[in-house]
Amino acid sequence: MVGAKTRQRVESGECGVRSGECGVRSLEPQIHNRKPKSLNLRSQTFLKAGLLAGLALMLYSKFSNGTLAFYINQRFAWLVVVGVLILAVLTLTMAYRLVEQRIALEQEMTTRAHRISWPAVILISIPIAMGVLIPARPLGASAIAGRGIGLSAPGNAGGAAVVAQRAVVGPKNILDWLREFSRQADPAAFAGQTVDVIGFVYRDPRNTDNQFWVSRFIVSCCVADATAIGLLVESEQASALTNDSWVRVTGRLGVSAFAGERLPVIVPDTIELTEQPEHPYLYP
Amino acid sequence: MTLIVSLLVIVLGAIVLDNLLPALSLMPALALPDLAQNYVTVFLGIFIEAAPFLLLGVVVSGLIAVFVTADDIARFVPRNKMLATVMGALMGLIFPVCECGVVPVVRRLYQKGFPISAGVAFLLGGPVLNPIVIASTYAAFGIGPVFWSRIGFTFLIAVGVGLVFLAQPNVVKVLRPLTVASMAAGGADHGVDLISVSEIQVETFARKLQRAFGVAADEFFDMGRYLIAGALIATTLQTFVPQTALAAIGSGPATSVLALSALAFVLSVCSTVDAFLALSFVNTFTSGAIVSFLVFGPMVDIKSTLMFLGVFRRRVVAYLIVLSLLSGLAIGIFINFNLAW
Repeated sequence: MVGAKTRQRVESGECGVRSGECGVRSLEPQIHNRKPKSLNLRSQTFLKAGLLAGLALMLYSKFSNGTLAFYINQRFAWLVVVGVLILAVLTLTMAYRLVEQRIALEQEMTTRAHRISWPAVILISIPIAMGVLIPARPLGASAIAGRGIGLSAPGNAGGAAVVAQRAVVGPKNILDWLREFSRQADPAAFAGQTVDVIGFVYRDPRNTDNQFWVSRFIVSCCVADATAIGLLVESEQASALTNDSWVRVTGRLGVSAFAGERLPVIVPDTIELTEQPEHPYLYP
Repeated sequence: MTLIVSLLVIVLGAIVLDNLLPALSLMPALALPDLAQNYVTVFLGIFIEAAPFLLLGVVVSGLIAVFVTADDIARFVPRNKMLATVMGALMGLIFPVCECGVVPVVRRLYQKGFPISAGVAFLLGGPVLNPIVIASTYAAFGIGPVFWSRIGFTFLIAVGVGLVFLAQPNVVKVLRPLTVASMAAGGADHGVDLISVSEIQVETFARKLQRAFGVAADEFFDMGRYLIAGALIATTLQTFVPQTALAAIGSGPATSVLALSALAFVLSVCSTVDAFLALSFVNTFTSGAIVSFLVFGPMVDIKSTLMFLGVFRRRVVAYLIVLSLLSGLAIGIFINFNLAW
């Protein structure tokens, strides 16, 4: 009902669509009077097919070379595969439009209504260019400066039902430790427990010379929501370590202070340089 | 057959690319300074996360364009405008789309003659009131006050703002001229149906499917540019404005609500996953702020604003933003003062 009424109103020209008042040129002369400028339209379609294929390739290469873990939570990796498949089908559809002769008129109208302008081509090339040309690197110490480092585990209060009660198998990671800490107000309660964690080095301006953070980013969804967390380490080696080097720290917990706050601290037995893990972020 | 061949081509291409990339990345010119590198990582993160949802959205839209006729919609939508608006808010349960995906679907529905008010209710409510987002909110918060507030208040705002648009049922005043122009062609988007109706009636299923994917591809380019522009802006703000500056005001009953609403607007994170992001604010922000973040965030953000501009007139986009922002703020502040849990 509604649709019919609306259409009637529009078609009768009340709103001036036909007369061009609404800023739309009439389509009719283009349909009847112009010979198809096939080269132009073909290249439009060709361009779209190319961009779709480019996006598909970029996404697929992120997936296949493992760098997808630098951008999104691995829980959503399958969605990227779905995206690649859809892009492949759309690329095919555009390619088919190029070779198909039967519906030349429809093809022209469709392409004309969805003409892709150069600014749009450039915009859509941006993720392709960034993904292909710039070497993938996960967020590191330099990103903490703008975000700040979290002293407690996120999501303990609200997500208690889901997050807090997970049994930890094997050595606790940095996030597991922060969850432990947030359940106990007194940092001294953990003194003496053994720690074995992997993270990257972050030296905060407020750290004393013998302190650094062994830190990780937590990524719930994609790096846009990345939060930095870390465990404080006190060691004479601290000044020798550079930001962003990945280290494995083993030792025992003690108590120290950072920016006026009492915190558990790792008193390390060993600090060894290690490779960046396959999944540089932790997933809550 | 062609599908298999082209998938093979893509896989082969990717393998070649994989082997080529390390060589490319050795080029010293591409070693960017840290800030630029972080910018690229965050931008690609948002894009890679959002692109599959946008693609699913345009495919749904393409399928609606080809397989759903304006008559179907007219039969489906209750004649009572109030009921139609309520139904619009709940339509996400049938078309599960996030805020990137909902815009092309709404645009398509309008071209099929959907009432303005019901479309607005779907636009604002659909990204939350759908199975995927309800599941993710449940995963993050369990069944509790946050879960029910998110669902309940989203429904109220979506219907409320939708009803406001009952006052202006004239599509020409609400929609962009281009959207209206394709309505003139009977919702076929480019006047094709009017010309070749007889041909379309004998169309095979495969041919229809192909046409649906064609529409999806065209729409991906129409909408994709807004997603990318929005992601660029969101990344710029996120990279250059310290989040700690926002978090400093997280404890005030009003400032915290304002701050998280602003953050939701800037971050432009997909509604499907923003519950997990909200989880990380639970310790620092008031519960009202969390609810505002979860209710207002999916309705309007930088990315979706840019996409709205592709469908609605500018003034209408401003109304949509202001109305949902004010309702979101009111709810957050109300919760903080009256329903602290």
